[in-house]
Amino acid sequence: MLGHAVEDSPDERRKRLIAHHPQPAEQARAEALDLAIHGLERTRPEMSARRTLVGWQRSAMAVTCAVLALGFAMQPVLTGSILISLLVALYVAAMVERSVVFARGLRAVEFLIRRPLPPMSDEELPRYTILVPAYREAEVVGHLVESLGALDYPPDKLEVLLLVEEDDDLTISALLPLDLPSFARVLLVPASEPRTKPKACNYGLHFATGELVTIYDAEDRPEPLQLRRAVDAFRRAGPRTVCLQARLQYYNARQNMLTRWFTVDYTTWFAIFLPGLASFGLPVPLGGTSNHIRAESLVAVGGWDPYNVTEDADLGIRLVRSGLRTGIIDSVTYEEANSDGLNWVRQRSRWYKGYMQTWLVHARQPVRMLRELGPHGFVSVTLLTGATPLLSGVNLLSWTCTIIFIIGTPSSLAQVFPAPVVYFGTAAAFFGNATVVYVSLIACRQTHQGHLAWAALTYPLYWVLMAVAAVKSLWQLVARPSYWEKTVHGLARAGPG
Amino acid sequence: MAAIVLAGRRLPPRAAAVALRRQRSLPWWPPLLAGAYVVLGILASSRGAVAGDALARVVNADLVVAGTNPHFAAVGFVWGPLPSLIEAPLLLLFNGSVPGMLANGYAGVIMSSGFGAWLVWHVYRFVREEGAGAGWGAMIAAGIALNPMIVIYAISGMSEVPFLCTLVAALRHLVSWMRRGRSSELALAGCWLGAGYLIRYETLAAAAGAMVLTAGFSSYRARQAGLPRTRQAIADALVFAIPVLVAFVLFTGVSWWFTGQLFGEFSQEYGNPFFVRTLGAGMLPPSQVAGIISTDILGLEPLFPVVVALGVGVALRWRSEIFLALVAVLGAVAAFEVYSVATGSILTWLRFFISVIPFTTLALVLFRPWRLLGVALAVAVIGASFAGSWAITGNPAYANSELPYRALATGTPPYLATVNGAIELPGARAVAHWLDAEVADANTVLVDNQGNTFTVIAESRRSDLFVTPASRNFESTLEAPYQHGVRYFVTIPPTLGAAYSIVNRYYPGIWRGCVRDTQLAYTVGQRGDPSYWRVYRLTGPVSPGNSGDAPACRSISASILPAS
Repeated sequence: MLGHAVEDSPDERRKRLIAHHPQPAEQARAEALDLAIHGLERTRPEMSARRTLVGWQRSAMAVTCAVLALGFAMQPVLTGSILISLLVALYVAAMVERSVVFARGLRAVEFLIRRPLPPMSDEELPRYTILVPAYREAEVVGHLVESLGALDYPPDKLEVLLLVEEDDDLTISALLPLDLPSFARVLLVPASEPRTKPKACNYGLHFATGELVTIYDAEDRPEPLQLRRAVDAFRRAGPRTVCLQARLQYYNARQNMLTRWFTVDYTTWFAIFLPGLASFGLPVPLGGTSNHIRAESLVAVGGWDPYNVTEDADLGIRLVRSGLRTGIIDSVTYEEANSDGLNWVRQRSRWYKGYMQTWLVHARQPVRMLRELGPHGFVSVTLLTGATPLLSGVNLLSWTCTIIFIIGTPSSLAQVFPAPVVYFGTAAAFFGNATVVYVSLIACRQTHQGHLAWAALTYPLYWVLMAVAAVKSLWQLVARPSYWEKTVHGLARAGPG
Repeated sequence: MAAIVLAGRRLPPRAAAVALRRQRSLPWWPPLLAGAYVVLGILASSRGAVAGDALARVVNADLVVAGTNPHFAAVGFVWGPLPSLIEAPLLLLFNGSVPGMLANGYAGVIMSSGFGAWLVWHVYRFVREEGAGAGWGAMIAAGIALNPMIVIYAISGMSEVPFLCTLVAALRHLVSWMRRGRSSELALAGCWLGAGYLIRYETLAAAAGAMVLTAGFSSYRARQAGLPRTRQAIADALVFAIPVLVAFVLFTGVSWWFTGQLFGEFSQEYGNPFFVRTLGAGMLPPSQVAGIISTDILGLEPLFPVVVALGVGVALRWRSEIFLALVAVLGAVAAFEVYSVATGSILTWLRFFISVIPFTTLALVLFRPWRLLGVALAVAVIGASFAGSWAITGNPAYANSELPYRALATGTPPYLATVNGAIELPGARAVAHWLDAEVADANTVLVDNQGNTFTVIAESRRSDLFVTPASRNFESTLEAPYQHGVRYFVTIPPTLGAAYSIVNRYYPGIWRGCVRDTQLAYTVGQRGDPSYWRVYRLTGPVSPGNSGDAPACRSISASILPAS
């Protein structure tokens, strides 16, 4: 237990922390940092999000903008109709794809046999590294000790690396009074740009000694047996399965309407949708935490991309492109759902920006991507990552138009929408919304969360928020691609979990 | 308890064995059965046994794809659109090469035969999924497939058998859900009933019944598992109900969008109230109606009360889910039909009670544990049903659409029944051929496809000749036909009620030639014939209500015009 005096300076607090948690040698740190930031860029420059657009993409974008501008200037009605029709077609394709994957996932999950975990002696268990990146996490760091203590894994086989930015005085101050378990230590990440979670994780990976690696956020509460389940699953899966994603769930679902929607969102995604993707052999966009990876494979594919703000989704796709697989394990990690609207928009816009980044990076070499992912994989990745933010924005547009149409069509709107486009668009919007509501409802029912039925029914309202986030993300993608907008945690009130 | 989902390993071994019982691959006999029904249907309709409603649906399908104004809304909003939407591609692809597709309603035959075979397949799988062997499966399936009433409706192009198919499919999934609790089964049951609603609106009764059953059963199961009852029940009821609701909102919304009417099926003009009014059923005394209802039901299934009584007994004793589901789905529909007939909102037609046939036949699986006695009972019930259906479909006092088919089966010429029975095609054919020869330009013949004259469209080789209520701007064309290029009206005698033809409604004197600037161009039939029609040529602009000056014409009342 370290005491501290209020009049300490940040420097002194840092020194005290280092005293308790010795850091690696300066040279080792510099090396690790260099690899963390530039590693992927050097080994696989074509997969790095350092630059959002490469040559041909820039030209293509410029040409598209020029064509659109010209089109709108010369033939606005025709151009508008074609554009809208293309967007609606994309929307329909995305809906169909999601429905197919959902149906598959539902069947897969329904037919799962529950097997008991076989007994595994401590000697058999591999060494496990848990990376916990923390940035300005004063509030939740205290819970970390509890969650770590609850993990059912032999302490001598466990290694927890808390990754804290060197100049993050807030977190350092919060950590000083804590009594961390013996297997946990703090790694101070040298202050550097880009200031992102994947960079910190890459840094930590360099010093990790475990055979298996996973990430947890500071506020996560993983199910105690999760690590054992991952070990067991890795054993039973083939050598090509190098990554396992656990199910993320929110413990503050009932806090307000936003958390309910968010929980419905996560439930549908993690409980049904990801198993569907895994069942088809499609790339699985990983969740931000609770993805358990074989360390050597992770290093072999280049680690995480420090410039990508959804490094998890990117990694999932990169794994499949390298011929490796992701599976899903039936284990839950509880997280805190964003309960504040503004905060939520920030988080979601970061995700959308990351999705678009991810797609732009992977689509740099479309032929190679097609070859490595297969046609279904290619389509799936495009519709799930690149198209998702776009379609969220489109949804907003289509609702606005539908409302205007029902109230009374201004003649200009009637021109942009020739009859077939109107019918197609309205039908697509109707079925799209109905499908999403229905699918969410089934997911809630499947996971015994019938109390979220109302949230599922009002889900289209949640999409309004998503559309706002989509617009914001598009702007940020252009202006500040690698800016990691920090989500504030600790907003959950104590309530029924 | 770790479980893992990997590509290519969709089902763990034991679950795969369970799934095999579901038999995802199609066996050889359903396509064969469908083919047999198609052949029978083609034989029947080529010999003149064509069901009126079936042909009307095919004409609606034709208006969707052919003619001068092909569009989806032409399918019409009085009936469920799905049968016509299925027939439309058939017409598109084959009407050129096989004229009978439209003219004899073969597209309808194919549609209902397909559903008929599918119905029997669902019945077979239902019985097998109960754990019965192939023998029982074949027996029950044959009990449906060979039942005279079912055969008639499978080959006729009417919507009853497609409707039953959706009900039995939903029933199968509902029972599966009750047994195994998988939400996907419940969702599929809901989707089947959603499709059923797009075939016949009585599906709503089945949906209501099934929803009550779902909520109740879910609540019961939740209590056993110690989970919150109300929430689970509501969630499950929603999972079931949403597809039906979507179908309902979709059809109602589109109907409102295109016609300004929410519920065409219940409209005064072409829906049920119109039929009841014009064909005068509401005037029968209640005791007589009750007598007709019971005769119809017992005619189709003579041992119906026995099966129901025994079924209730078995259900109470062994807590059988099947009986509950049968009552909730098929029983609800039958009850709804009985209620509708009893209150006079629909007519006492035999085919409204068709749902008692699968109800009784499927209920026979309840008696499988009685071994030989169960088999004997099943054989007796099925045999009685065959005999009863055969007898009642040949009885003119009770059967009407069924008679022509029955007559053909016994070798007598088709019985020319009333309006909604078989229709006489020769008259329509004559008019159609005359029009094909005489008329060159498209959009020049105005005909009401929702009355009896739709058959003219069916028999004509040129669908583009006709302006119908499904055409664009029909109202304005009706008000100023000459200016819109119309040169011919096809009209019927006003004795059937002026509301039965929109031409008569807007031009009340047309039949008697009392509209100025029209002259009689062609006539077919005589007074009393089902096809007693006239074609009037327009020689100049006409307007509604213009009855002319001759004394015989002055008495034509203009008050039959619709309120605008």
